[in-house]
Amino acid sequence: MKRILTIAALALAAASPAFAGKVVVAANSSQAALDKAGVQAIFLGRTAQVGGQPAVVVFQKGPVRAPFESGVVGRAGAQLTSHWSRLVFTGRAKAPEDLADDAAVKAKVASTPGAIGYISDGAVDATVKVLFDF
Amino acid sequence: MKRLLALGILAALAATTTAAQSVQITGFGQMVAGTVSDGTSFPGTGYDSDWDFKNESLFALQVRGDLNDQWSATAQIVARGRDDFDPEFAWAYVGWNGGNGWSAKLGRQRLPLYRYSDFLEVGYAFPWLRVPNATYNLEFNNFDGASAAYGFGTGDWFTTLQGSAGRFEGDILLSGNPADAELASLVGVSAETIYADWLTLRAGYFQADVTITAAALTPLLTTLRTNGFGNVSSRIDYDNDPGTFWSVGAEVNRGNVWLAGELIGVKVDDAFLADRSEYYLSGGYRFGSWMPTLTWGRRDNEAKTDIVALLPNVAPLAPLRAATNGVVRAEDINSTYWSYGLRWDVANNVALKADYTRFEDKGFNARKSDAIAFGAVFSF
Repeated sequence: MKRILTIAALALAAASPAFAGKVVVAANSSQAALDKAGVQAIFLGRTAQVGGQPAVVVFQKGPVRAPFESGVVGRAGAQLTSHWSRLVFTGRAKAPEDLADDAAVKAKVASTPGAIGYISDGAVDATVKVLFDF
Repeated sequence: MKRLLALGILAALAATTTAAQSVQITGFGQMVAGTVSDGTSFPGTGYDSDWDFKNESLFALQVRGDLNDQWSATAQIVARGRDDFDPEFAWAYVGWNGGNGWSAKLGRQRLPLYRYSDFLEVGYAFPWLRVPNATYNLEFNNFDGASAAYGFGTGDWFTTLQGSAGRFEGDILLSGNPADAELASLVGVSAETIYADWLTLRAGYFQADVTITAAALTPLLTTLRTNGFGNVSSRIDYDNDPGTFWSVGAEVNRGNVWLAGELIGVKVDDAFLADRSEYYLSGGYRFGSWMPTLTWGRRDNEAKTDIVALLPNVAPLAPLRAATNGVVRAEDINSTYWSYGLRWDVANNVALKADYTRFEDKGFNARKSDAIAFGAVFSF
């Protein structure tokens, strides 16, 4: 019984490798590096500006989402949607974007002043500037 | 006509989306079925012993257009089942975001009386099926005017201060009777602070000159005046009478624990409205995507019986005293609410909710009843 549990635990661990990622903005953004609290403030809609521009907050649906939401933002899934619905439907913030994957986030961030998103480590290239490591 | 206008504006806005990426359309709503299983009615819901699918159902679209980096225009169009899904412009304002935490709104917007005022109709944003009736029972939700807000962070605290000024004009129910209401010289301030993303504290204070005209009350007021009791009449009617509203509230959202509570006070000088003192406490625990909640609410309102005492207790005046007493004592409310709720997040933007609430009033119109309701809430 214990062995089966151990095997199951190992299988689970293998199936969901720990994803590491980066919070990024356009390569030419003037936004300085952020600490965890700074990232939270932006992704929870409390900071309205990124690099001196109105913030365009970009979430994504890829595998990097879960570690980012639970590990950095501190709220995930329905709780996070609920939090943002409070901001959006009070007019306090613009609705965040929810893109498909790393490539879509990179394209959006690189082409939009004020846009900020997160991508997995392997996707980082010269079109973006890294503000935070997770 | 109103519906056509709303649809026209939406279509126009939708058409511009393709032209400019700066128009955002979001929406929310809920479809709720409810009934009363014990008693004949339930306050604030419109439910009776038949199943109802409209009273608490609604659908809303919010359209926001960014005019430039600082200015935006927002309209929120809400179609409520209880109005036969006739769309109404709940909000229509121009917003300014000046950076450094400063923002302002001009136009029709939410009156931020309560903790949940700003997202009163966005069921997706709170765990209950409906905000607690014990405190959320005023008829004024929006106002026309201006507001300015300043948000700032200090360490783990993030604070927002807001000032509002304007007026409200609209049709309301006064003790269940249709009435025209006006809140003039409406001003208020509210402050909200969030600690480390889990503790929210809030306080608000509002005042206005209140005028309410209800056809059902006019005969009594006229009779009082023509019989030389103008003083009694003016103690009953809402004739530009100063009113105040204050509230304090707190919310804890830590790990799987969720707690909320609010305490409010309402007072209108020289009108028959009782001095109201109302509060609720609510708690819930998150089990994955399930969240049961338990809510206890109280309304403890003392009727202004001294108004009746202004009429001499003599036989010829008995009918007038009885009528006056009926109006004044209807405000004598001593009621308790117990709500058992369940929310199930079936997806990131859809939740199913159920609620059973028992209500008992031991005041002048003593009665008790309950309400059962189920619904789906969503946002997009």
